[in-house]
Amino acid sequence: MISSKKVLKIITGSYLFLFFGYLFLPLIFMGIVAFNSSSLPQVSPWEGFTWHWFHELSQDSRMWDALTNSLIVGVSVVCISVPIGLAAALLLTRLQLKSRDLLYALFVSPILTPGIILGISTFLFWDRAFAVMGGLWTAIVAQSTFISAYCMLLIMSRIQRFDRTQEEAAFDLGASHQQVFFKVTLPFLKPALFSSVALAFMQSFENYNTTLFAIGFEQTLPIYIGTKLRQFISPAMNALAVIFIVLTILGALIYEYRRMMERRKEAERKKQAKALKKAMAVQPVPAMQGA
Amino acid sequence: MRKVWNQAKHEFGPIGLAYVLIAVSVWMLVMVVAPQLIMLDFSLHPLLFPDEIGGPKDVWTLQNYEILFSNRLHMIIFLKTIWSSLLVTVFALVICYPISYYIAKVARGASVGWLMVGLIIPYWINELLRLFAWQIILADSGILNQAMLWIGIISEPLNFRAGNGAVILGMAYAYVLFMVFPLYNALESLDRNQVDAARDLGASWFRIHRRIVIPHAKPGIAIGCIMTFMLGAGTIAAPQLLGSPSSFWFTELIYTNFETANWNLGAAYATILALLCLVFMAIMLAVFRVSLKELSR
Amino acid sequence: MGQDVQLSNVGMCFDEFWAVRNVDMHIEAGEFFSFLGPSGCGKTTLLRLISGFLDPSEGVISINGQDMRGIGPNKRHTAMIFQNLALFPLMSVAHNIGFGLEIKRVPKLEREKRVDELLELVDLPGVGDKKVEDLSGGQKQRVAIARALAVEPSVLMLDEPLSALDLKLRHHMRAELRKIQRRTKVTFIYITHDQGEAFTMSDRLAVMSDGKIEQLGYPDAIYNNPATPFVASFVGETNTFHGSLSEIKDSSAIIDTPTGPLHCRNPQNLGQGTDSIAFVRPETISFMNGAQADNSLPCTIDTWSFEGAFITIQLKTGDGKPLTMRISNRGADLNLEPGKDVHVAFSADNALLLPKEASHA
Ligand SMILES: Nc1ncnc2c1ncn2[C@@H]1O[C@H](COP(=O)(O)OP(=O)(O)OP(=O)(O)O)[C@@H](O)[C@H]1O
Ligand SMILES: [Mg+2]
Repeated sequence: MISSKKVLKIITGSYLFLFFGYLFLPLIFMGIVAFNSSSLPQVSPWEGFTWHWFHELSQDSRMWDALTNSLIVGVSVVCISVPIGLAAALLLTRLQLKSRDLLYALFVSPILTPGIILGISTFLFWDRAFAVMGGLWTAIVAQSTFISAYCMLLIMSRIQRFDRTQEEAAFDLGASHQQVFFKVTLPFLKPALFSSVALAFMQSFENYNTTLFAIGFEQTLPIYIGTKLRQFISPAMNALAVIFIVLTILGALIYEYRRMMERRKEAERKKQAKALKKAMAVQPVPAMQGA
Repeated sequence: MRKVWNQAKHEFGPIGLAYVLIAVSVWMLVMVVAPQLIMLDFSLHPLLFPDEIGGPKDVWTLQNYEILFSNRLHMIIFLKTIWSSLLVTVFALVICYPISYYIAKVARGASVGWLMVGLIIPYWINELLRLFAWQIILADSGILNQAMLWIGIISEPLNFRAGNGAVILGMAYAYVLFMVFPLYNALESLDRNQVDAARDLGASWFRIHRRIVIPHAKPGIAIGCIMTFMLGAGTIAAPQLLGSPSSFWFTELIYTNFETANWNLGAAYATILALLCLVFMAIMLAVFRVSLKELSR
Repeated sequence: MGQDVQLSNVGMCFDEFWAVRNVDMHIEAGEFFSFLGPSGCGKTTLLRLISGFLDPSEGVISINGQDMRGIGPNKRHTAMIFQNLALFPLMSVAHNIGFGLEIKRVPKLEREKRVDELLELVDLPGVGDKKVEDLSGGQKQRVAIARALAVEPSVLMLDEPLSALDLKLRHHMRAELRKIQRRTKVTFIYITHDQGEAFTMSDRLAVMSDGKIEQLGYPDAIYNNPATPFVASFVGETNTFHGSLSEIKDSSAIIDTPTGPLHCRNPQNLGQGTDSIAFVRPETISFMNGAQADNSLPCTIDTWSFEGAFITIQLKTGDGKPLTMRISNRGADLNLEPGKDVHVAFSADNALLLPKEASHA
């Protein structure tokens, strides 16, 4: 007789196995292909291990151009989105507006709009208003419309944990608005700003749908990949995928490690605070020497 | 209004206020609202030769929108887009609910971290590459055909990419994880004691989820569904990479219109797509009785 | 050196709600002045008005004779110690204290010297390099004081600064604060809802209720001569007798209460027939010792509790009204038993008569 607990365990186990199998097997197959000598992108027949496809990829000058463009676009998007996200977050958290909810909905709407719409509308707008026909600039603007909203959400969640009296204290001690912002508020927001920078860059670096419509004849890395994948596929693309996957795994590990460290620190701090309180309640106050 | 203005000056100081106002209004007006209005404007005008613009033929018209309803093929493609996005959304909800619940409320200690890493890795990998993986699996000489041939279910390789199946499979795979994180966030704030208490009272597993867990997860479910549907309906990568020339998708329709410089029809169809997502969102928010504010959690 | 603060008819209105109204008063330079009042009576609002975080809806605040309208908190010679201290958690202790000097562009060397002096002043030498979060509650308190004093304010405002500390530390810090105030001669404006704090520390204090100043004066005057029923019942413990004024004799008066007629002191010269309340402090009531007394009441002992130096006795008067008395413990056996009949007495001087409806000027 098997207990119902055991049954539950087996069901959970197989579900987890299937779920992660579903997520990872396709990626693993894709990775293996990169090392197969066969000139068709396939796992089998296995024709021997090779680094050849990585070499071929590195010879592709269009890939390097696309990568350069992606870096330019990514950095520009960061420079536009983070300041906008910060401003929007400040506006929403600092002012007691009656129309706050409406503004909030408006600000997050780019995230909820299909990416291609943002690309199309930005392209049309710049063409019509400034006669700018696609290119890196329109791609940067189009991506920034929704990436700013992501930055705003990230920064907002940190601002909401900020103790405003710190700002008042600084103000009271003679600081100007700018000094308060740069010496007190900004240092507190730093972690959220760093995450916004990372998030904005990553979102930009891998964006396809929006960019495709906005960029015209230029290419970012995802556009390059998309074009390649629609044509005859060489395993060099798998080599590129492997590079992406390795970088992603590294990134995810670092991200999770830092998150865990932060949680541990928080728990530690809480513990210490508790211990301190206890100690203070018991210990007599040390005698003071008058001056 | 005057009060808000005074408060704003008080809060930010003159330079800070200028920064906030300029940044936000450039974003909203120049980057979001004006482009949408221009797109709408394009969609309401007929396709004209450059020298006809401003002439007598340059009038407001709904004719671009009417094409969708008069062209049977386009209508079928449109309905197919709705139908398959819904399918993908439901699929994502069904397979992500258990894992979200498991990570949020069942798993403990270090395994939570590893499970999270397991979700983040595929989530962060470029959507094109996720679709590419299925391209390789579903290819004529791909692993799936080879496996089926080897087992002997089939004697000839199948062309998986002929119909719409491959696109839907790819869409599901590429966007499934957009359901996990909203669900996880919502479930994490559920008090485990509530579940334990219900279990003590003898509530069945099914009842606990229906009465306690799912009501609590409502905002997460709504947002996960909105995101997944929007990404599914709005994807152009999936049909481009996994579709066949014989099966066309709504986003591809928009794209070809742009390639052939029929911006007006393209803009009209894009507007329809945006409206579709808006309607879906409104329905989800109404059905689950949540507000957009939950997004910030 | 401290400066004086003048409030002329100051009022503060939040969306039709007057949190502070008609405040007309003067705080002397170098004084330790307290505002005492229940939660929500507008103390913090008043402090924020003086420090400039709020602009008064009406009236004028002047510091050192200068009208403060349109001058922000960063331009006033005031400093505030916030209820939660509001130390900067990301800066070291020394950086916290030196913050105001850094803003004033005081050169680094001089700044460091000043910070050391201030740490000395608040008895925290050598903790400058520590992180704020590593300090104990009392130490944080002192860092906050040092940070505020660093900018050499003329007026230092403290918003219930001790409420987060435990009892022992609170008593200790009272003395500390008083000492620092004497040493620096800065005008201290102190907010509290703890009367013990207000009485022991202040030169003068104001009792507030519902946004208004009920009474302003020296601690003993407020305790012994409350001007309104609110002050009489808010400050210290007291027994009340309601009744109508029936007879006036020179400086004293007689009111008819359900317990019987009582001889009272009538400082406000209430007229005959006024609905009034007599306030009698528990410690002014004693057992009859045969001698003649202005007021004597037959009572029954209900309960009593021994508090070391004092004994508090709960009595019931003939008409069943509860009455509290407090006598000092002289070590003798008082033979107190619940149910025992006793006679208690108090003088007319200790029964303060005030009108039931406070008439505000
Ligand atoms: N910004 C504001 N907007 C509206 N009402 C306010 C505002 N600030 C204070 N109030 C109201 O004014 C009244 C007085 O508040 P205040 O903070 O001054 O009280 P307090 O005496 O300091 O109380 P406590 O002892 O609890 O700190 C309260 O009823 C409060 O709700
Ligand atoms: Mg207060």
